[in-house]
Amino acid sequence: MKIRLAGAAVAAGCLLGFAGTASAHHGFNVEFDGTKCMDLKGTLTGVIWENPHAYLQMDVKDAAGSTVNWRLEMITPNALKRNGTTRQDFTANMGKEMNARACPAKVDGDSRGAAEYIKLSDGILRIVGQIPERGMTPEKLNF
Amino acid sequence: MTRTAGVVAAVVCFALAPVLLDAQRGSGQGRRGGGQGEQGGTTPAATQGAKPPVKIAGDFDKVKVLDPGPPTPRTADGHPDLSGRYYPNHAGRMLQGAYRIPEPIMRQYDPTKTPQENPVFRPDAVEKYQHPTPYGSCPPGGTPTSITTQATEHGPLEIVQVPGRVWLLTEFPQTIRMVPTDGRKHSPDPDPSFNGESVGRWEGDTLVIDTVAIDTRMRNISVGRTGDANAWLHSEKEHVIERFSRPSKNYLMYTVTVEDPEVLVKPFTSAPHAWTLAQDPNDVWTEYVCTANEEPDVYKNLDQKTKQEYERSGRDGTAQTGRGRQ
Repeated sequence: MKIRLAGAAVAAGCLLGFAGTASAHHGFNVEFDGTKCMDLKGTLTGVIWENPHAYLQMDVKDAAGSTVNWRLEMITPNALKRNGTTRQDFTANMGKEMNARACPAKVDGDSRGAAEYIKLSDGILRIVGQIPERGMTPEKLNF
Repeated sequence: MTRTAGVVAAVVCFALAPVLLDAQRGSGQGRRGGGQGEQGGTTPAATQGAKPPVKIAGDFDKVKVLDPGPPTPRTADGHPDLSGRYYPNHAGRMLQGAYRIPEPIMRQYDPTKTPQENPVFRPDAVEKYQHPTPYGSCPPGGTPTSITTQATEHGPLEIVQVPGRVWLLTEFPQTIRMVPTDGRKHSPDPDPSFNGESVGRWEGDTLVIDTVAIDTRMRNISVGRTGDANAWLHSEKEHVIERFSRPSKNYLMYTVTVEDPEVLVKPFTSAPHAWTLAQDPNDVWTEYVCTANEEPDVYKNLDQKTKQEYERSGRDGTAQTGRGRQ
């Protein structure tokens, strides 16, 4: 019975998704708005591999058809690297299509944010940030 | 029993993941978000089902509770050899808090078996000593924070044990601690330093490291409640006692006691926290010098209300705790 209860609890956890700190250099909510996360689709234009956070840059067309260059914060290079995402992965997919699920910054939120998930043109789903959206599990992504 | 159940549940969780992914894909659920990027293209394929499960980078589906491994390694003098690189979880590798890793693997202790009390602060000390780490700053860790803060940083602790001394190295905050184990006592009047003055001694198979003279600008982070926002400062009277043991090759156990009569009503002692030996031979040390940092400028531009909420969040208990412990 204990096993069943624990199993049910963890299964529920699977479905809800566990939000959590991912190598947190800072508190997410101070700088970003986890209630306004959005899908971004565009082209990978850059990667900045530095501590305490790595960043990616991507060109995205806005509603008016203008291209906006977004700068998305990720977690630390050491955590990215040990969890399957390297600087070389970005280099290999530079200039190609990519998707991101990202949450805008509270300041300059029209072009700056924090990435939760990304998919580069290699088709691999990458968890590159904290997931402040409760229940935003990989299977719920649109990419 | 609970541990077994947790592992079973974890296996079920991972086994179900591809099924859940496929089910979700086939259901043709509407798009979420409505973000600015939607004009950049459409994803009709996402609703057509029958797609292979998405590969997620990081091999998180292979993560499991590490077995104890061979018996405790020992040095020539018979003491346990603590040397090795360890991660603050039960997996033997660096994990990422955002992935759905079951708690029996992710955490450092089971709160139902070894509950951990929070530090009890003197009422007159709260205002002066309970302050979060300044947002966006990269201060040195100090003792014991360079180790305890790994509860949310998830980074490695490397121990190098040689005759007469033990080196404790952490990647971030990038820290080098040299602890003499040659029987010497504390200096009569040690100079304050970020890591303090440490001396080590063996009590049976446990290495006890005793530290004083820790710079009072250093915060205790994840000593009790986890996370930067729950950080607290200490007085010149702080005394830190850390206990390290290695019950088997794959496991390092760490317990910390903080005494500070000016700040705490009573000494704080953590639960025994498990660290596991890095299993990947290619898992190399990574440089983590925290200098390329734009966040203090970002913080300056934030509104006053957000800043105040952050500053008081640790004191009023609203600060979130990071993942990795409970």
